[in-house]
Amino acid sequence: MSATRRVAWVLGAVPATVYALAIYAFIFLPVGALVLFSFQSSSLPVPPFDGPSLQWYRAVLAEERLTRALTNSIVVALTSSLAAVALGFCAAYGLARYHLRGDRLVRGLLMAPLTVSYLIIGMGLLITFNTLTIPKSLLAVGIGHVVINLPLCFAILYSQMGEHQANVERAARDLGAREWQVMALVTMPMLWPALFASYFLSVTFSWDEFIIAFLVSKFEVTLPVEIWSMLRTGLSPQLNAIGSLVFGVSVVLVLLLDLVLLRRKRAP
Amino acid sequence: MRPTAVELRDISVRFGAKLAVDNVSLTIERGSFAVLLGPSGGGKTTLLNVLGGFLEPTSGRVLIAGEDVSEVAPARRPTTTVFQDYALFPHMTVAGNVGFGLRMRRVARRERARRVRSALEMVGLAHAAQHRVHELSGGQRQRVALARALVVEPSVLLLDEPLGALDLKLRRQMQEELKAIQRRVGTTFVHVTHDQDEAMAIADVIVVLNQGVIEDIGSPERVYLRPRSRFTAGFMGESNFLDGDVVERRDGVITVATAVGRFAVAGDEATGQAVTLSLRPEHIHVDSGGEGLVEIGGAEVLEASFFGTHHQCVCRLRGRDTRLKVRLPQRRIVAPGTTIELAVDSGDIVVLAR
Repeated sequence: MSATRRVAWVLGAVPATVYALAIYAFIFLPVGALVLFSFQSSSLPVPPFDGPSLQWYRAVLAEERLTRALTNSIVVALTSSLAAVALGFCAAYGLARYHLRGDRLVRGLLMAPLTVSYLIIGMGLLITFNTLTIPKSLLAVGIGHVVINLPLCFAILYSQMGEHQANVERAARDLGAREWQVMALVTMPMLWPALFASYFLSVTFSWDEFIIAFLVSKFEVTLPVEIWSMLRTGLSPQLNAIGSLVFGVSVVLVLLLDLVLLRRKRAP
Repeated sequence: MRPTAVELRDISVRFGAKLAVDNVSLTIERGSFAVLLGPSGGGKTTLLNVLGGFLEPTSGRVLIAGEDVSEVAPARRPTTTVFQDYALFPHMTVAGNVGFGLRMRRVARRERARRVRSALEMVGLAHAAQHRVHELSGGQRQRVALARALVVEPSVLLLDEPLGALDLKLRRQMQEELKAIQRRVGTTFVHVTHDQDEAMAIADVIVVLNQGVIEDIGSPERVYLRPRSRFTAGFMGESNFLDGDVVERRDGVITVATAVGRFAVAGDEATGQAVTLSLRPEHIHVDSGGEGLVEIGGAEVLEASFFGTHHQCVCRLRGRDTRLKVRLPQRRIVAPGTTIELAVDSGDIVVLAR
């Protein structure tokens, strides 16, 4: 490499590296600060850092309100996602395998909620539940999360049920499989990565979701709503500790998802 | 006569306004290798889907091994299919794929393993039993699909353009293997293709389909050498067509007057009838007037191209506008502009209705 080319390379590479570092700092500094000050010793999550200490994590796990909210969040996320995947699978299977009158319209309607903001969906749910006299509750939150996750599950699963998969199902029928055997031995195993991906994506979204949970719950609340109500009383390293826990769970979910999708790419 | 494996009675299939299969009746003998041949849109795959039960015909009956299966679902029919894209189960091993049909028939585990092994041995894949489908090459997938369909011992095996995705060399090799396997197991094969060379190489019976009707049916030799319709003559290889009129009929020999002269050929068309004569390029003799040959006359070579086994030329007859395709031996190299003398054995000429 000649001297001038090396200079040109350095002149190009240095700003690019600085720029990349700045972007990552911008994205991760708030999260980093949150996690760092969750290990603060004193009772204010502001510099200087005087930890590390696990006392705020102890405080979180000792506080019954928080552990109950945590349990609520987990229950809502796991069950509403199961419902969303099951309903999304049925809709996708029906629309991919049978030609119905106006199926394009039905597909469009199923995916339309993806474009509507959670606030609008939350307001709509609030009005609907009010009319149907369904009380504000965890059940209402779960229904709300099915509403936002169903379109997503449908879209993921529908995209995986192409002509090739239909042909493989046909081959199973040709070899003597009954409908339930086709479903259990061919359709579901072939779709397993997509089912897994849509389930964990749903769990991630439900786990983080605040607006709908805030609008349609009352006494029993999910973790994001509990955090919000605690924030109103001021900053505390305890909140940092909860935030770090929530963040940690999300990271684990995303990593799981990635692992499954990567495995699928390697073995098509 | 041998018992029939397949009988189609007055089958019609309509897709919206389009009649894909138009009142087709067909019988296929047990143990024969039948090929449904035709251009795309000819109705051959539609007919195969009717046989497999994937498509309900608009009208007509389907009989397999003497039993009416018109209302029977694919799973209950004594047929299995080798699909064009193989449709193997990607989440199972090769042995899992081949054993699937036996599992559905509740064959005991040990018996199943034995039959899977012998099916894989038949297609030369015994070593790959525990491989995953995505580890196999195209030709190997093809063999797995074949073993999977044959292991359940169907009365009729349906093959939907199974060699279409393979390259030419592998395709020729698989044709030979298919034919050998069919001879060995003795199952009736019904094979769909649009490749006339493939059809001639493997078939006992060729069924030529065009626009939903059977144009011709018979042995490869019969269909190629004595085609019954102009479509068949043109689709099965190449041919020269000469329009003419019957001017004389005597003792089973008719004389046909065409733009290039008169030909006396075997036939019993009535005098005055308009007919078309079909001459295969390889049936035109060049510079070798001999006994029994009818002179066509001199012709100027317009184009010549080499095909390995022969030269193919386009010639224009002297003093006329008629062009003929002619085949010359490998060593006979002619330049465009050369004049050659053409003759034909009247026994090779086929008379077709016009």
